[in-house]
Amino acid sequence: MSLLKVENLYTNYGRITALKGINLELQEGEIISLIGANGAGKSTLLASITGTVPVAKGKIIFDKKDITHHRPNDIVKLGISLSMEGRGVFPRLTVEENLLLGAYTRKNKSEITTTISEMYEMFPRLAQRRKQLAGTMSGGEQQMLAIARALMSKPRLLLLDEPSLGLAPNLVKIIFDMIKDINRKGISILLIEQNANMAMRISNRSYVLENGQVKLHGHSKELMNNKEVRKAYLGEIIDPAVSKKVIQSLASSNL
Amino acid sequence: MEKIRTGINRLTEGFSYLETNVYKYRIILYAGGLSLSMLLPVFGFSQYMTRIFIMIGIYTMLALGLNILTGYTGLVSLGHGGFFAIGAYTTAILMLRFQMNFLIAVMIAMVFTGICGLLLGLPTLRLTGTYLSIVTLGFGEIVRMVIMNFDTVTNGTLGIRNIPRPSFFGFELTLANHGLFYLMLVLLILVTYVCIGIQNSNMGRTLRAIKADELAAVMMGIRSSRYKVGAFVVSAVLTGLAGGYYASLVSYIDHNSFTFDVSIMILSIVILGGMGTIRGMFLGAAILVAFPEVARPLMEWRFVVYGLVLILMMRFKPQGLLGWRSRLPYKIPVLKRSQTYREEKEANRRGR
Repeated sequence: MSLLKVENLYTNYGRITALKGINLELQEGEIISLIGANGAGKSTLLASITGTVPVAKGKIIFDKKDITHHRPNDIVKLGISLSMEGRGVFPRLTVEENLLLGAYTRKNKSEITTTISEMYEMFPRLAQRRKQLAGTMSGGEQQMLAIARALMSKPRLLLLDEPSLGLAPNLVKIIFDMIKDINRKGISILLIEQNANMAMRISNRSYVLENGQVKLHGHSKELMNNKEVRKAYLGEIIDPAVSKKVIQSLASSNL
Repeated sequence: MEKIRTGINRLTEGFSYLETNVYKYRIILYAGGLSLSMLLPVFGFSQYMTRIFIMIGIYTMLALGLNILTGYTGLVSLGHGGFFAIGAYTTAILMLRFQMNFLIAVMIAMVFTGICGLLLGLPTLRLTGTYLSIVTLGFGEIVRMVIMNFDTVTNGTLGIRNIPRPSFFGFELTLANHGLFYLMLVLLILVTYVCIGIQNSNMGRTLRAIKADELAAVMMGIRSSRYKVGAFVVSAVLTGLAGGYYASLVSYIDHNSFTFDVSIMILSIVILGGMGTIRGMFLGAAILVAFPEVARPLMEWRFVVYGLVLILMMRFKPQGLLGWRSRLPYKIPVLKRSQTYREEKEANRRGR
């Protein structure tokens, strides 16, 4: 049973078409990674799913329901939650207030408090800083807060937009381990990443986007062995002659 | 140069020291301030002084009203003079033509101002920043034009005279028997209470979230448009209350009582006091209303002082006098390089 299904999706920004017929399917309990260069349409796809950008053509089906033209707040209520690129925490609010806002769509107060304590268990760093203003925390802590806040609405599908953006390499590893933990608790994840290597390593399947279209998709393990993907996204040097030239020019440029 | 720098650092430290202490003893300070203002009439001030205190109270109410819109939600309005005028005129007309009691008239005026707030809030939903400011500025002027030309209701440019003072059970409140002062105090406490309630509620948190990052707030499932219009309405209602009281206080209003200056004054109080704080509104109103009175001897130098205060504010407290506390005072780094540079120079000279 597929949880999320995107059928032939077109999205425009004015006269520019950002998505040109995207087809995507996500099974319940899966981690899917979306990789692609800047401007390939990854963030636009997430914005279309969450309803912040109007869809021109096509269908988005979540849990057998057509959500193509729903309002963002209704989509959150149905169980899709987004952790935004660049973290998007509320800097002048405390950690706890940020989490409470994440649970905005839920009304039962005692359930919300139990979810908050669950989050503190999962992210002990946040528990230490619950009364601190979110803007004064480090980048990694803010990213954890952003993910925790997205989980506060008890989503069935978590959309993560560049969770590793601007983080130190050891923190990136911690964040990715956390994403795997979240998935083990039964939450499906759609992950956008520039760090294609890491993303493909933890995901079940991957979609490669190029110019608003799905260029390749399949099991991550198979895609990681795909020559094209290795060359374009995993930074592998395919042609030794070219690489030698590059290295020489770098060496001569004295960098 | 270094002396100046350490001097500035010491000043900043002093400021934050003062801040923490004010914060520590805030309950004592608030209680003291309240009881002192309750006892003010006992000191036997002249009517002139009482009037100034009342004006401070009115402007505090106005600033608290605008603060909900500007301080929490981040929508800058330059047209609150318009809501002020609507509240004042509605109260005056209801009291004069329909012989209504002050309280009932003010309540109806608040509802009417709230509806006007809704009517202004709905079409401006998509506007932010400067665009919204311009539209609200236009709104303030439109209200003034309507007042000037709608002769049958507002008596046009002649204004409305002989607005009765509020009276309760046959007892008329005036400046002389301090009734008006205490009525202001009661209304002010009421408005402050409402604002504290909003600040600590879900609504306050949501409004602050919208101010910080509207897209992120929407992603939490918040319908930001509803909250923005809600903030407009609440803000207008509180402003309307202040307007109703003002009409009854001065007993004569015309279109010139509600010029653009009033809107600017309210906004200045919010910014000077510290956006998004309640205590800041009191201090801001006290300073900006009292300053022209205190500075009468300065006369034409007044605006020079304004400018100086503005520059000092930008340097030391860009967030407003009582704005959010900066936990760590920023220290201008005293450059160590200059010392080593001098030593090097010295060494060079010796080497030569």
